[in-house]
Amino acid sequence: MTNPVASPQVSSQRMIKKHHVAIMLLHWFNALVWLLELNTGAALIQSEHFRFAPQWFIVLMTGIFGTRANLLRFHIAVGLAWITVFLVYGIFGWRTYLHQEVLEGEVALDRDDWNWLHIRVLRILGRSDEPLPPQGIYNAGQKLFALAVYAMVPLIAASGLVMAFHWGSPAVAGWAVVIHFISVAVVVSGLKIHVYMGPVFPEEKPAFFSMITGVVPEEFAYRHHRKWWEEVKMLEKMHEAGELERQEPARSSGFVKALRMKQYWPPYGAALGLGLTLLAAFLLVGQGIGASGGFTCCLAFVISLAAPDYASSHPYRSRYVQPDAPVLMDLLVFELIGVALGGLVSGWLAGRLRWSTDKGPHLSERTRWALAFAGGALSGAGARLARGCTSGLALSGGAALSAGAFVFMLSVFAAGFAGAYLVRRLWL
Amino acid sequence: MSSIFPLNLSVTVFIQVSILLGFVFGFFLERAGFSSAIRLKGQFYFRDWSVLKVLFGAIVVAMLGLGWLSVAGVLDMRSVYIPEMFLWPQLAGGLLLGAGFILGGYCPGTSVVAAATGKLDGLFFLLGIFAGIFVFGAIEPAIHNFNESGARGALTLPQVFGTTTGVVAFAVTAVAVGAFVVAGRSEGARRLFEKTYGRTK
Repeated sequence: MTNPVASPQVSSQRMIKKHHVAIMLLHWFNALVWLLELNTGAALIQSEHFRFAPQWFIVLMTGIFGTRANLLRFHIAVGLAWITVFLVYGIFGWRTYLHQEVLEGEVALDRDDWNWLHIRVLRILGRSDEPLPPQGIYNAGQKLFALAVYAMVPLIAASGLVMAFHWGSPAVAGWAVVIHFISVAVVVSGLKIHVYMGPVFPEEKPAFFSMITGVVPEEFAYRHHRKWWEEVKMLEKMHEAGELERQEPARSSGFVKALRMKQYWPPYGAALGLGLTLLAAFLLVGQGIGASGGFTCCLAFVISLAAPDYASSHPYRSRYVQPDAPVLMDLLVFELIGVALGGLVSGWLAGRLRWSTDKGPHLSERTRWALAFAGGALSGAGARLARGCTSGLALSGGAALSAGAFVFMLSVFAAGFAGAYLVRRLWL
Repeated sequence: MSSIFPLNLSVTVFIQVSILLGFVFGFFLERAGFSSAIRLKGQFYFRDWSVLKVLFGAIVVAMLGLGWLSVAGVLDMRSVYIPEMFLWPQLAGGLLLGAGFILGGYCPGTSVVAAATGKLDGLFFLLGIFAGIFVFGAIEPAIHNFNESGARGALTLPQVFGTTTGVVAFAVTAVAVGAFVVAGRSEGARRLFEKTYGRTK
């Protein structure tokens, strides 16, 4: 392309698809894992040579998990989950969406890429104002980072496994510590630029949002990833000319269809799913699944951090404050995190993620929010009084035939139906 | 007789299992449409019976699963946590939660899913829960006697009615199926009504 002026076909409105949903999910999962692992890992370092986190940070992190041993367990648990997810993606997703992107788009540096790096560095130093060579779907800087990550991740995972399960002799474990630390440091040095470029650096904003929406404006692709833009255009032209056979609508299995369907699932299907999940919970951890207890644990944790004396001397609150035991390391808190993630993923797959407010037709949004807050407060207090909410008491207790659960259920429905008549103007 | 379940998990596995259980739970809640206050409140105006169907359906599935697995000797019911009964606080707490449900449009679990899918009302409901729990904690000493009243321990329905678990499980299943039939009839009648007279507001 010799014509530097945006050609009339390039629109800033049109969006081009850049990322597969699976890749976006993987990206944010990975981001979350790195956030958790870097923070817990920094607090776990014992060696004087490597420790860099300030003392207050170590105290805070250890405080969240109660003991250092718990902190370590959490670090290992998240690490294992990370390795598992990447293995699953690697094995099952390789042919579908990793193969092409990884080898051709993310890693292989061509002549243009080397020139790009060269000119980019000179430009940063103020020694050149040459235009940057055209780039593919990822620019050379991104490719370098990807290379470093791909090289380091197996080292991080392997050394982590060696440390976690004490494989090999003490000498091996000693080397594992060093390798773990250095390979993480290599990734972090690139990660700083990666994080700066994404949410902070203004020119790369569209790239950041493409990780949420999956698409970039055509203009952005044209300016920053010219070679990729040309590919997309060429494919489009071939489509129009009928040279490529129209891709027949992707034949997806019933399972995939059920995951991506826009409508809600039929109630009995969802009921079967929830019932089996509940049963699994009883089998695996010996109790059902609750929601309101997790809130109580979080709140108790915050109160005991902010006002430890008040928390431990208060006759009711002190029940939830255990001086030595970890407050946040509770089944209920983790379940709550899981519930939020599950809702997020389900909504995402069905295309239901958007900022909105559910309200009756005659209500302003602000009134609705105020009422929602009030309703939340009532149900928070009610759940404490009843020792559980719709999930933890009615559903889980009901399945275990707890008498209290059925009393609770009856009064929830009684208040709901009676209240519905009184507040019908809010909803109808 | 030693049963395999419930498992005795190490802390590491326990964390992963609880996140996973929560994940699947949240996933199905969202799939059922319980991230929408409009759908949830529809139950209380007899427009949409999915709350009842899902709640009772899930209870029946899990209850029958627990029952048969313990009959088969795979599960030890004595190690399964059964919520304790506090008659009066649970009655009052249910009323409060029901009132909060119809006023705010959610219950605690569904508000988490709603907030996770971007519902701002769900987010405010969630903040309200924290406020409610906080205030309850502050005033609990004043209502302490009430909060502990009607304590019956981990009482179960078979104990209340002095019969076997099997009979109660059968009865609960029968009531649930009856409720499903009523729900189906009601929805059918509504569709017919709307077909004949147009949609009601």
